[in-house]
Formats: sequence, C-alpha cells, structure tokens
Amino acid sequence: MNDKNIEEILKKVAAENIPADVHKIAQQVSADFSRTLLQTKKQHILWEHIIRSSITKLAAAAVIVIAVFLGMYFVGNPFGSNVTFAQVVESMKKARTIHAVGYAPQDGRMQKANEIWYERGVGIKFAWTHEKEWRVVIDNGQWLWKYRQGDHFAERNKSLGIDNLPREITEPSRYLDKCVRDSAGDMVVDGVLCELYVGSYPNKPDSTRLMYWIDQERRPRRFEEKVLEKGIWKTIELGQVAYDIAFDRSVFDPNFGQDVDIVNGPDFDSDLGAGVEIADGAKILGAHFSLEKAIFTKEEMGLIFAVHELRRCQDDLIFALTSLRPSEQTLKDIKSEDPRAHNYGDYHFGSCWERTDGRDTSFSPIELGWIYHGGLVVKWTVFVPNGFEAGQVTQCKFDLDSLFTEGKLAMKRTETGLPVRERLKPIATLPLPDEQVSLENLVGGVYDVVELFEPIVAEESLTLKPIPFTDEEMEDFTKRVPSDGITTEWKAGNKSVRLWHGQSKKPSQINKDTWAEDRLTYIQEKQRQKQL
Amino acid sequence: MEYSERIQVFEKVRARYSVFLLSVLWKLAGDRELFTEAMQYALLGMWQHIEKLNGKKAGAYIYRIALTANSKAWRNRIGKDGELAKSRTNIDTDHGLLIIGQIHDKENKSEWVTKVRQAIARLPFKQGRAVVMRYLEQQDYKTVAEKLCCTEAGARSHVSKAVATLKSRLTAFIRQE
Repeated sequence: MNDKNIEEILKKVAAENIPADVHKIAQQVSADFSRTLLQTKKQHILWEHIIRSSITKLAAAAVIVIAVFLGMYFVGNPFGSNVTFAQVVESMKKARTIHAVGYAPQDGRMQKANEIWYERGVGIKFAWTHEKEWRVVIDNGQWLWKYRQGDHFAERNKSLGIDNLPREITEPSRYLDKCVRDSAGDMVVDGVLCELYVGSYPNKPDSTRLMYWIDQERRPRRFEEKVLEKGIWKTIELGQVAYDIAFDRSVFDPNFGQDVDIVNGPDFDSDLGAGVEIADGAKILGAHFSLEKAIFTKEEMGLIFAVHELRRCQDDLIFALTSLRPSEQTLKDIKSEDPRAHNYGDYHFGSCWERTDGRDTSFSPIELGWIYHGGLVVKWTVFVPNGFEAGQVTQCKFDLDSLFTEGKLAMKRTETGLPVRERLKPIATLPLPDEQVSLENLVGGVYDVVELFEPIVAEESLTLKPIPFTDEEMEDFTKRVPSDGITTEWKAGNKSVRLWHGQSKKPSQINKDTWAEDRLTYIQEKQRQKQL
Repeated sequence: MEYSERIQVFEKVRARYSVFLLSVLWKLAGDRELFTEAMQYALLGMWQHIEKLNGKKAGAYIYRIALTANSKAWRNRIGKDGELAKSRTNIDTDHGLLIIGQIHDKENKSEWVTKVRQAIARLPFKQGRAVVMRYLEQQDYKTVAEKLCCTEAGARSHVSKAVATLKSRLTAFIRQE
C-alpha cells in the first residue's frame, strides 16, 4: 500500500454521503442528551425549593424523607432517566477493581459460566467454561498466560496490555442505549440500590429482553438476558458485577497446579528476559499422549504404535487418534538431541481393502492433522468405511500401509541387516464404541489441540484438501521424469494420473472454521465418491 | 458557571458544531453503532469541557473532543488482540469505492476502509486533526495551517506525517494477512 492508495481511500471516504438515518441518529442522540440535562436541572431547582419552603421547615420528618428520596435520586442519577453506554464505560473506568461473574443455564439451572477479575494497573484474569472445561487467561501487564483445565502446561506470551478495560466487561452494556427506564424493577444488588433499564436486541424486539440494573454511579451491577420460548420468558444469561472490592493479589499469579509447566508461546520474546525455565516439550507431549491411557499398543521395529482414541460418528464415519514413538530401548540406543530431527520412524495408513465372500470392504483414511516432536508422531484420522451396510460398521481395521524407520534408526537397522519398512495389514482390529459423537465437534477439537501444542512441538500441521497439478506442472513433471509410469500414462492421455500438491498449514496460519469446513467437505466428497 | 448557564452555553455550542460533528464523526466511524457511541462521547466531552468551548479556542477543542470521542468508540470496539470483532462491526459495505492495487472485491474494499478508519482513530491528535481537515473536510493547506497555528509548510508536514503513519500501520496489517 502506498501514499496514493491511502489518499484515494481518504478522498473517497470524504466524498461519501451521510445516510438519512444517520442524520436521525445524530438528532436523537443529541435530543436525548439535552433532555437528560434538563431533567437534572429540574431536580436541582426542586431541591432548592424544598430547602427554602416554609412547609418543609415545619414538617421536619417529611423534609428528611423527601430530601433523602430526592437525594438518592439526584445523586444516584444526575443525568436523569437515561444512562448511556458511553457514560457507563466512563464510570466503570474509575473503578479500582471490577469483579464480574456470568451464569448460563446448564442441566436445568443457572451455573457459573465465566468470571473476570480486573484491577487497574495490576492485572486482568478471565476464566470461562468451554464444553464443561474451564479455560483461564491471566495478564499481569508483563506476561499473558493461557491454560486449559486438565492440561499439563500453560502457555506464556507477551502481555496484551492492561491499560484499558477489557471488552468482555464493557460489551454486555452495549445495548444500554436502546433501553428505557423501568422503575418498577429497581432492586438492591449487593446492598446497592440500582435502577432498571429494559430493552431488546434490535433484530428481535419481541422475543428478547435485556435488563440492566445500574447503580447510583452509573455502573452496571446486574445484567439479565431473557428469550421468549413458547410463551415463557427464560433467562439465558445472568451477570453480576462488583466494584472496588479487595482481591487477593495471588489472583493474577499463574498458579495452575503443581504438575503444570509453563511453556513459552509463539509471541514470547526472549529479549524481554526469561525468568521462567522452558519446560520439556517431549515430557509434556508424552504425558498428554500417554501410552498408559492408550486402547491399543504394539511394538514393531523398535517403534511403538498406539491407538489412543476411537470414536463412532454419524454416517458410519470413524475418528481415530494414533501415535508412533521409539521404544525405551530404542531411545537408549539412539540419542536424538534435536526434537526436529527425524531419527526414529513414521507411518501411513492404507485402506485395509479386503474381498470377503465376493464383497469388497475398506476403511479409507483421511488425514486431519499431525504433530511431531522428538520422535513422537501423533496423527488424527477419519476413516470412511466402504462396502458395509449402513449402520453395520462395528469395528475399525487399522492398515499400516507403510511403517518405516528413519534417520539414525534406519541406518542402524540397515547396518545390522534388519528391515527398515513393513506393511502391517491390519496392525489392529478394534471394536467401535456404541456411543455416537458428532464429527464436527471432534474435528474442532483437533484444531484446538494442535493449536494448543503449536508453541512446543517441532512440527505441526493441519491437513487441507490437496491441490491438483496444473497441466503445465504435469508437463514439467513428464520432462523431468520421462521414464516414470505416470509420465507414460499422462502422455497416453490418461488424466486420472494427475498428481496433487499435498497441503498443510499451522493453526496460526489458518482459521479454525476455514480448516474445519475444508476437512468436513472433503470427507463428504469421499463418502459420495464411494457411494457412486 | 451556574448550571442553567452551562446548559445554555452547551446548547449554543451544540447547535454551532452539530453539522461538523455529524460529518466528521460519520466519516471517521463509517458504522452506525460506532457513530452513535462516538456521538455520545463527543456530547459528553463537550459538556465536560464547556468552559473551553465558550472561548476563542473553541474550534481547536471541538476537534480534540471529536477525535477523542472517535478513538474511544473504536477502542471499545477493538478487542484485546487488536482486531475488530467481525461479528460486531456491522460495517456497511462501501459501494462504489475503488481502491487502486490490492483490493479486488467488495469484502476486501470494505475491510480496507475499516482499517484506514481504525488507523486514523489511533493517530496522535495533531496528525489525526491534520488528516480530518485536509482529507475529510477537504480544506486547503492555508486553512489547515491557520487552524493548526503553523505555517503552510508545517501543515503539509503534519499531513504527510499522518499519511506516513497510516501507511506504516496498514502495511503492518498487510504483513499479518
């Protein structure tokens, strides 16, 4: 982008006409603001009148009552019956601490779903549930830590800054501008008198209800969101906020448990100073993909193949998490200092095609993603069963089309006359669980895990649909490899031998939704092809 | 200042600058929700600094109030990761905007304009004001110099520095993409 581009944009922006409704918005906002000023003025004059009135001098008790009532109303609501989002944000910024708790319906009752701690100049902490699992982010102005419940490590990155109020605290009040005062619903929240403002989402005015309870200092203390379902208003979100309460300072410390290591994330800048030892990535991955929890293991050629997870999904699809790692003996015999080096082995799945009683069956593998670190290979795969009656797939056969050694292990086996490659068809036949789970959820979970491990693995990848060679690329190939069988077929006019570019990306290079859609679409295409 | 007098002054100032605020804030925001929020912040700023708006330097203060209001509105919209929450932008597509070079489709054009607006919201005050006066209000350098209380060469310098700052921030955005 050059100066001319920017100037062009600016000139075009300047030439834009202001839409008619924006004129109305400006008028409405100005009118509302002026009205609140006038209402405040009226109360101010009324207060002066009461003080000077001879009647109130006589009825002392009445004066006190009236004064208290007006005083509360005047002090608590100096801008009259309208409170705007901008005013609320300004008021919230003055708080030294803010503690917000959010609730959502779960299992028939409102349960805590998220919590925020904010202390000006000290730190911010978020905790929220995701599929019944708690996740935590802490920012102390210097570092930012992310942690997921049950993990053995937390990721540390540079702070995103704690100068501004987090959006998560201010955003729920955004629709306050569209709300109206409803004094009938005023209530005391945590001992503080609060006024109720009620509104709805603009696109769902009749079926949603937003309720804000605002205190005398124009700060939201309670928020409730309701939806109308079958004639009944149901609360789907509830929030409560407290201000200027004392926090234990340890709330912003990265204490996630004794067994939780801290690892530096991709945004960590070592120039900022260490202060934290980098945890052992192999140890962390080994614990997360532990053989103790595997449902199947087998050792071949000094390598251990394992199946950690096997799930039945819709349309007979099968999801599997597998791994390969050097055995204890192999690790003792062959040292590999660099976790990026491939000195042990790898594997690829075949389809385990079989012909039984004249019927062809197979389990076509579709790769979702993989990670590699220090000899440990972890793969997520979806298998598409073929040749089975619908709903009659009860097991999965794992065909290791290629199990091979690499690097130092391959060299050692070659020196000793041992094979470096095997085909194991099948290496395992495992029953599928009865429970069916959503493939979409499992695919999303793969992204989350690969993303989680991105800072500490040697290599990681999310597989994408391969890109076919163009005709020009195929021509180049045939010139480079004239004697190859594919060249012969291509020159004979057989386009089905067209080669493909393998595709892969790191999570930080691709959006979760984009990747998940790619994989799910590809799986559906393969299913359709098999049905033809 | 007595409260009633304060209101009178506020109403006069509001009437005097209503067209300016409407035009400048809409061009800076480009989004109805952002504009509404910026407008509220601007009115609040005018009320809070009404004494300054009643004097000779009112013109300068109103720019500061408008740019500050716009920045606050954008800051409230921008998430912790510095990125706009796409689900919340509700940005109108900008019909008929032609950007030379990299932008080819409507979605990208709209995104570039949004990024330019976002970058303007983060400019230092003098640079922001220079951009607003020169490009959004389309004033000549002589007028810009008078309002910035500098020479015409100085006004050109403020404008070119502002454009350079926008360029570097937008280039950083390209690299991230």
